[in-house]
Amino acid sequence: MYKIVINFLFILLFLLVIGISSALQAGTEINVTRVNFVDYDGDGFDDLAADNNENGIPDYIEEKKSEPIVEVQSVLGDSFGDQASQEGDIYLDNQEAFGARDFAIRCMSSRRIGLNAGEEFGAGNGLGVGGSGGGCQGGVCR
Amino acid sequence: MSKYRLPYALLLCLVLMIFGSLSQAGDIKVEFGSSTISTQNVLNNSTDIYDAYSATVIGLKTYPFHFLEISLSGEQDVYREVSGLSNSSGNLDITLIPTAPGARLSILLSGGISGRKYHEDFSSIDNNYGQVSAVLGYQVQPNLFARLGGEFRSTAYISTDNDYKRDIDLFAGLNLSLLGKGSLDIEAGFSGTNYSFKDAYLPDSIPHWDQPDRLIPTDRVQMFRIPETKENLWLFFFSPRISRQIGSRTGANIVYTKRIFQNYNNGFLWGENTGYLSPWSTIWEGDNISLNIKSFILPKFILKAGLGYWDKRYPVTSASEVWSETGITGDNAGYVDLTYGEAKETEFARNDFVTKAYFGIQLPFAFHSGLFIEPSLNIEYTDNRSNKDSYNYDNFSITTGITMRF
Repeated sequence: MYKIVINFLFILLFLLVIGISSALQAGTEINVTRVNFVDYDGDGFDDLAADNNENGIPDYIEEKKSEPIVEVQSVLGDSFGDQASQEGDIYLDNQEAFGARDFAIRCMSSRRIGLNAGEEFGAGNGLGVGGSGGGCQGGVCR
Repeated sequence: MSKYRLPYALLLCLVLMIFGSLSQAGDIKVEFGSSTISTQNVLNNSTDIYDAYSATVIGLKTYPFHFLEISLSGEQDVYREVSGLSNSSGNLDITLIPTAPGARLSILLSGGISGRKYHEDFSSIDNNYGQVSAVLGYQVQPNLFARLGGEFRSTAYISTDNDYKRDIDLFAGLNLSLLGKGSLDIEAGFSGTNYSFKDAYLPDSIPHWDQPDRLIPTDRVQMFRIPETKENLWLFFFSPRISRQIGSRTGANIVYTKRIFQNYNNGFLWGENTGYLSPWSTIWEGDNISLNIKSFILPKFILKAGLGYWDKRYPVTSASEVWSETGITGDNAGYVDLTYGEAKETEFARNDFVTKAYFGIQLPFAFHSGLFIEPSLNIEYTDNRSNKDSYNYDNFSITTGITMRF
């Protein structure tokens, strides 16, 4: 069992080093074309649907328009270095630029399993109740 | 993580200095949330103690660089009936995303520390907490995204010497866009936690009779004579999820999760594994399946509803369920001759069947100034059937709240 874990950690470390080193190579242009429906958070809705006011309701529903048939996101991507200035040109400020990065990795930032993942079940209105909510938070569980 | 209290004042000054110096270079976002929860059964057991409590969270986030977020937040929970549970905490979190959106490879690094202080009635669980995590993501195909990551958490209980908890999660996952408006997400991994247990094999120092195999002592005096073993307990997790849009305004998912102990077979935990605020309450093996629905069918509103079912089997503990249900007397007083497997079958271990349902409604307002306000109402019902009377209960709770950010 421990060998599995140690091997897993080695693989993770290796990929991390590879990932960071490749991320640090400035000037590499990556053009990823995504499909027309992506659902990373599992709510059943297309994560790529525009939500310009960020209220959680897709714009096509608020504006009572027909649902977009095809929405393709194509973004030049890299990190640090020259790319920082490219992103600076695209986004108004650091908060907006970070928000775009955070949005892109949202399926990596939450997970369903693990001792501390708890039971992600409920309306989840974002109201934290650390010492009393279900699952564990701050090292305390119930 | 230190056993000592975080020097909160020093930490606060340091963080304020960081925020102050960075405010010119980056942006600051303020988040606020407040909720009131009314629950029929605050302890989630057969005591059925009613409570109404409030939780208030305020947070500041700053972005000194376009790939970095620093977050500082404070939380205050106030209980009306069980006032000892009232607590406050401070948190500092850092998130680093060095890869740009649209890049094939994504990296997420995060870490954080927090300190939580309870009312003096529960000061024994005041704790310092820290976590670090690293996750890699890779866009394998336009419709396939893979992820791999790990997280380490450490909790030091300040008031108790040598009392700590360290957990590690290792996980991998795939997200596949299906034909039409659907998605399949599969996640699997291992989780480990340190724990102490009493081995059910009796040491030679304790008198045996009839060459017993494994015994569970039913007497606390005998329990103390068995040496304590410290190990890491590992669980394997597997969880597929299918989500799909239904019409233009409703989405749904079905999630299944399987949890299997990897190296637990005969020890039993010292203490209760399921009591309120117990660090062992999340340690169980079994199955869960749930259905969740999200809908925009009412204009301006977000509606959420769900139904879930759990079959949970907990480790055997030295808690009261062992003592009260055995009545061995005479020469064999103090012991019952059972293996752990037999113990599970003969209901020495807690086995719960849980059904939960919820309904939530949110009304978000987003203003051109950047102000966001969202009042919400959540209703949740839990029906918990257990082979232990102490855990036969139901609970109905109503949560009203508001979140703001600007």
